[in-house]
Amino acid sequence: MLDVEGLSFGYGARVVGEGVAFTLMRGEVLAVLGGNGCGKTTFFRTLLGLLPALAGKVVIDGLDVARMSPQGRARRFAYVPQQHAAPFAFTVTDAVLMGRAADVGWFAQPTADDRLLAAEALERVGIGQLGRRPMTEISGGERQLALIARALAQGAGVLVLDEPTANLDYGNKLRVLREIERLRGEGRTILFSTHDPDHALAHADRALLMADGRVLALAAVADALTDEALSALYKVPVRVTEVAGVRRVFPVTR
Amino acid sequence: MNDSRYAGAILFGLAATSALAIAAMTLGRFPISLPDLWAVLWRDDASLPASYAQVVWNVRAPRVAGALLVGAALSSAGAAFQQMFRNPLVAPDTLGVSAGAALGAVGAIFMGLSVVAIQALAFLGGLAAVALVWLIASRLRALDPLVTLILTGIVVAGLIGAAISLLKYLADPYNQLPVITFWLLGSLASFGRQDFLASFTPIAAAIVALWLVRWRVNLLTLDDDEARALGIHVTALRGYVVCAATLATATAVAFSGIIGWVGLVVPHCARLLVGPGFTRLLPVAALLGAAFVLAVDTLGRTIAAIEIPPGVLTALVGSPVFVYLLARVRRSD
Repeated sequence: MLDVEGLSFGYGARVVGEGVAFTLMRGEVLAVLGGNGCGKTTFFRTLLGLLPALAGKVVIDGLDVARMSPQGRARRFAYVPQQHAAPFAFTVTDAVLMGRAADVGWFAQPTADDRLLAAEALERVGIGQLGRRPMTEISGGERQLALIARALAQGAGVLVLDEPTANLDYGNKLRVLREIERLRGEGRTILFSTHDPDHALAHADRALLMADGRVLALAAVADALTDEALSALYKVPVRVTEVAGVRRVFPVTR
Repeated sequence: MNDSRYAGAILFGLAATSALAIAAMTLGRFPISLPDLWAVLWRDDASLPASYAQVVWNVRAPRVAGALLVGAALSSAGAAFQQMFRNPLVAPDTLGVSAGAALGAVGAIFMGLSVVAIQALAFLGGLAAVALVWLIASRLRALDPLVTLILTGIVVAGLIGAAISLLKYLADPYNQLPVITFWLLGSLASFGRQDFLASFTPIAAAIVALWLVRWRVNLLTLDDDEARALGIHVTALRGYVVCAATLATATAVAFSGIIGWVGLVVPHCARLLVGPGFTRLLPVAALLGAAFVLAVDTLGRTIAAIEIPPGVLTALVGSPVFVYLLARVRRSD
């Protein structure tokens, strides 16, 4: 269980978000929406304990994240960054194996068990066949899945994904979203940021809306993603409508 | 990368190093045939003049060992720096570590200090230089990080170069200046037994220290946030790696002056051979670096009537390779 209590975050004097509070149970998903530079990454960094909170705290399984060791945090939180071109061509297997770092000592090597966990994680996201390929030579969607596999190998209960569908083509987007849905079904707590409100409507229980470094709304998806809120967030008139049993966002036409 | 390529690279490195070492022992102003070399090395043959043993044991063996040691030190340090700065174009020279170490050593020579003090000041100078480069480069976030780091290294090296020039200007022109100038050129000519004994321990310790964290070092190639979220204490690990790589570089510089390009080119070639995993990269880079410096030093003292400093030959090989690397490096964004 993840408890965020009165969390304020930002850099020094520049406060980005204030008084954010929510509780996520196992299998619950929070989507974070907002334009570029709205503070999503700052929020995630604070949540992960990479940036000290200005006020409030993040509590996981009853423990304060600010007081945890890096290893302790890594065993509970897994971070899937936006995929990017890596400077060195590690194989997919080696990259996923890095997820085991919290359990490998300073002067130690990953054990056979670690390798097994990494291989399993790769199989679970469905790219077991890519293990020997370099990370630099697979597609963006495959790289994203590999990073998710690394998070699984880490064995953390909470997954934080920073724009997991950014820069992906349609098919790869669907693969990644299907993976998120599967992880949710496994009882993991998931936080992801996205530029597509449809993804939040389809895959999240709760939504956090941010704009210009302010929190606009934090509520259940149905309450947070209203016509007014989304129109204000994206500065274009939109309407949320149910089509074939799925709530989707459409532009308002005259 | 596959196992057979790694085994091949190691075998090639060992074979090349051994062949070069034997060649280096026989070649020179005082040629020694292979049977004679064998006799001196293993049989303590009384029929040969004493000059043979003198040349083999007191001149060539220390020099060969020195070249191997310096080559292994510089390319291990280069491999470590490239890994931790996520940048295949950095090296002890481009980061200003060599220049900083040289300033420390020149300062120590200028003040007439002992060999140990020269080593210590070289280490501190190298450490200060890399810290300065890192500090400046991390403040310049707007530019491409790959280029920023190299430009910052050039700026800092330039500044250090000015300081070295000042010391040379102030140095005693009869006693100190020739020593400083000759030494700055980079040379193994005066590398003797004492030098080997004094430089072996710090270089070996630095390489072993890097070898111990060989798996963890790979995580430094990730973004800081990513590595920290994986449970790595990034600052501590990076400090550890910088200290080890700087110790190797500074010791090499303190005993042989600045021999450029080795730490840049050799780790890169090693990475092309066996991939970026440090467990394989470090041994291959160390071995190829040892062979490279030995080859360059042996060529330098045999191809012409006068001795050509190894730095000249490494630059001849290194600069075109560097341009080639610049041309094929991907945009990092």
